[in-house]
Amino acid sequence: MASGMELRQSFWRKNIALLLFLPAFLLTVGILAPFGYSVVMSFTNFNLTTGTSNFIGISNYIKLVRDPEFWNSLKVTILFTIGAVLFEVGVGFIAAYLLNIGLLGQKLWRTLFLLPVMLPPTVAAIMWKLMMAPIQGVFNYLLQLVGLPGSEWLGSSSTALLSVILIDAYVFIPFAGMIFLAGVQNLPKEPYEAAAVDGVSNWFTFRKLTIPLLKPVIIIVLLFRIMDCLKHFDIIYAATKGGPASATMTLSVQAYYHSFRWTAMGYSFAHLVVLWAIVYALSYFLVGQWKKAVSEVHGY
Amino acid sequence: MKKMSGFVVVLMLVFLVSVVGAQEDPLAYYQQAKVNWKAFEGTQLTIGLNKHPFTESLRPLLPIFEQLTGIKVAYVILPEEEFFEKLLIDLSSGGGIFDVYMTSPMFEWRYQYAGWIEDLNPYWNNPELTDQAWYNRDDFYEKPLRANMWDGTIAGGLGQGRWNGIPVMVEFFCQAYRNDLREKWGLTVPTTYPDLLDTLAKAAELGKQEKPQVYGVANRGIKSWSTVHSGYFTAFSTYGQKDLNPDLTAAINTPQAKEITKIWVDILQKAGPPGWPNYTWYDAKQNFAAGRFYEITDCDFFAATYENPAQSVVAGKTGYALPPAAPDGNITSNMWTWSLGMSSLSKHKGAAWLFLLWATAPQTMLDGTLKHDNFNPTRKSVWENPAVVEKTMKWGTKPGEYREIVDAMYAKYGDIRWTPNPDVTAIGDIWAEALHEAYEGKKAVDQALDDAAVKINEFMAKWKK
Repeated sequence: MASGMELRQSFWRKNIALLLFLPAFLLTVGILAPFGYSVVMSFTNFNLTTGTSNFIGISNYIKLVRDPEFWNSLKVTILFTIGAVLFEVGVGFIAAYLLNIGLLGQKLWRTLFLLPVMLPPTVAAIMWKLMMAPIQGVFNYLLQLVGLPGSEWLGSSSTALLSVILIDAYVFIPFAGMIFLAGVQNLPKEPYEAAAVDGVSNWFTFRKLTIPLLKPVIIIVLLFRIMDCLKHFDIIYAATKGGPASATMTLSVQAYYHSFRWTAMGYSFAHLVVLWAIVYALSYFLVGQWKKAVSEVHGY
Repeated sequence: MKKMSGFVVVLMLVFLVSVVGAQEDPLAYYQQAKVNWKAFEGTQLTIGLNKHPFTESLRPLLPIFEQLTGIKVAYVILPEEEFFEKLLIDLSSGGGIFDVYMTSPMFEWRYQYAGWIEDLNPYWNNPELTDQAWYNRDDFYEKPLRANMWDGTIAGGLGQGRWNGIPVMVEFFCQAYRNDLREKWGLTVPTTYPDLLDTLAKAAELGKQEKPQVYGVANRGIKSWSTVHSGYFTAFSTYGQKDLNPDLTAAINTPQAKEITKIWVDILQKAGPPGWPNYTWYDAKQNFAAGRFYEITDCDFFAATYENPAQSVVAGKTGYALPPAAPDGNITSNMWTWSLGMSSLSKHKGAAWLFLLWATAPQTMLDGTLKHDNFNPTRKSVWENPAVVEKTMKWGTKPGEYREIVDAMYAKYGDIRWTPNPDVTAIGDIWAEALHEAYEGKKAVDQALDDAAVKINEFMAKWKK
């Protein structure tokens, strides 16, 4: 006859694994349930104004394929992602190098470098929007001081995309830079000592040693920034609302217009499901590349 | 005898103090109403407000309401676009954060269909909650009042059926221009749209000589229905055009619509603000007040800012004129009215109604206008109050210039020009996009309007019987 204490201990022994798994399970359900609901709703004519939510098959997706605005927003999303990621990875890499060579006041520089990433992106966008204002903005004032013509920045379709890329870069270069800095600081010393003995140039060392050794870190930065830029919403919406003339209309902003301005939720979900598929496919590919790079560098 | 006279003096003093006290008691006026203001004491209301002069006029008065009713008032203030989006999310998600919110007919049409806004008629007709004689609803100008009533008929039914909101301010769209520069540059006040184009193009050129540079015309341009709503729709309706045909197809691409749109886009390209597609009404108002523009073709009530020396460098230098006329002499203006409405999701509807009653009562509206610059008032008694008349008579190049425009708008030119339907803001967003495309030279005006018409037709298809 088992005592109460033994029964309790037996219960915990049998179920501890399940109980430890429970938080992760709830979290997964918490993520998957809304996602599943969104996918289901993308096959309906769900509209908040009319109150309809009827199954319409793949009509939203057919409409999407025929919608020139969808293709424009896909193009803008890709351009924004390429521009922002190249900028952030390039400048972040250079910044990490500069912060690693022992400049005077290095601690101060590192602190200052991190400041933008602490700003909420929307706040950064509004701040830059004010600085980029064509009439009263400080950017045009400074340009005119040195005799250069001012720009319309966010107010022209020819410069708006570049302007939002600049804002995004301002916020996220520190993120990329800090990951690169951690990577650079963890590089093994021996290969560099061997290279120095052989008398190879810095450029050769950089190409043949630094880049291959940092490949897993570079891919991680690319993974995070590409995923983030593809889904990007807050900076663009706060800065331009997707304008002028849809020059900054990304898929997320387009979906937002359809949902929270026009209440056509079903069609909006279709946009977001397509966006999810793109993000998922690219992430899957990059994670594969990262695993390959890790095994090349560390041999596991 | 001395004692008696002393007693009389004391009595007189007591009487005087009580009279003065009564005049200074801010609650006395409201307590005349046959309304139990304390009926919902202890309740907390949350009000959704747009960042707007009306909001600034209401905030200082809120303690009076709290003292009068024992109801606590919390509020959220957001810029216009963000406000409407936050409100839509709250209403559509069933969050019910807001008991009362700022609204407008164009939005009420959607809210009514979705069941997010309360019909105020039952509260108005409930003698337990309302003293109709004291409140005097007939004091409101008819146009803003009826604009907030709709029976739900797509493309009709305005001024009938449900009462969705109580108007707290009204705006029309007129010309405001720098009279000092007009005289200096030898320009005339435009009376037609081609004339407006010529005048503003000249002003933009002449303004380059000024330090700092003075630009031609301020006008909002962000990617939103509101860009269409103000000066552009005023010009558009002046040319006899409508947004929708009776069969709910888009009417924005008729030959006359294209003609006036070409002129409008031309004005913006030759004389508009740099970066016009990202320009908000806040930018337009502030930069005109800062002396950076010759003219603004936007809200008339901005005059309250322009004529306030604490906020403006153009006080006393600004002239006001009706919008230009169409070739046939026709003049119209679109109308916008901010109102207060009650959320259907509110759990404190009785308290919310008392708030609406108080906030739109004659005295509250007078205090808001006289002490805190809420223009244009929606009650006749406020607009015609001697102190308000004295204040506004000074606005313009001659006494009464501004007042004449507002009076003419109420009497003749101004009204809501949109066709009532729940998707009106979506139509406006699509239309604004067409203006952007034309302004940026991405499409010719004809093509931009034709393409927008196709999109609008897709949107409106679901409302066709």
